[in-house]
Amino acid sequence: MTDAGPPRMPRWVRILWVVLAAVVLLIVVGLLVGGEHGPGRHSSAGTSASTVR
Amino acid sequence: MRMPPGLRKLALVVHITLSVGWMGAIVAVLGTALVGLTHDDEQIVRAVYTLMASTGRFVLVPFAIGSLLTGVVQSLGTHWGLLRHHWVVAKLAINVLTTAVLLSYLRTFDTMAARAADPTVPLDQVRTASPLLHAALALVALSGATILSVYKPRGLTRRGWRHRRTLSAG
Repeated sequence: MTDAGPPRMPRWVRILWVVLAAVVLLIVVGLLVGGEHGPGRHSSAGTSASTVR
Repeated sequence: MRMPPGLRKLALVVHITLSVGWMGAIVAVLGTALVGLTHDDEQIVRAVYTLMASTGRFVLVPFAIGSLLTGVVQSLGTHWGLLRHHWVVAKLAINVLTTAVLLSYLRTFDTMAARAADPTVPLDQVRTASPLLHAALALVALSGATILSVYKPRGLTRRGWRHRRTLSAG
C-alpha cells in the first residue's frame, strides 16, 4: 500500500508568499532607511532645505 | 468547535458586512485623497486631510479589526479551519498585513492632518499622494482576499493534510 506524502504547495500560494514577503521587506527597509514614511519624509526634506537657506 | 448552521450564517453575514464596509471606507478615502490632490479650493484641501485622519481612526480601524476577528471566528467555527487550507491562510495573511499597515499609517494620517491644520504650511506641502497610493494598494490586497473567498482554490496545508488523515483513519 502506498501512502502519498503531504501535498505540494500550489504555485499560486508560492507566488503569493513571495509577493507578501516582498511587501513586508519593502516596509521594513522603508522604516529602517527612511524612518517615518509618507508625508513625514517630505516634511524633513523641506525643513532641511529651508534651514540651509 | 463547529458552529450550528444558524450561528454560522449569522457570523458569515457579520464578516461579509464588515469586510465590504472596510473596502467601501477605503474607496471613500481614495476619493477624498483624489480631491485633496486636485481641488483648487485651499480650505477644502486642508479639510480633506483632517477628515481622512478621523476616517482612518474611527472607520477604517474598527472595520479592519472587525473583519479580521470575524474571519478568524468564521474559519475556526466551520470545517475550513484556520490553518488547514491555503486559501484561508492566504486570506488571513493578507488581512493581518493590511491591518498592520493601516495601524502604522495612523501616525501618517495624524501628521497630514496636523500639517493641513497649520496655516503656515503651504498648500503644496499639504497635498500628498501617499494616502491615494496606500488606499489603492489596500484595495488590490482586499480584492485578492475577496477573490480567494469566492473561488476557494483547492489545496491543503500540511496541517490540513494531517487533519484529514486523522479523520479518515478514525
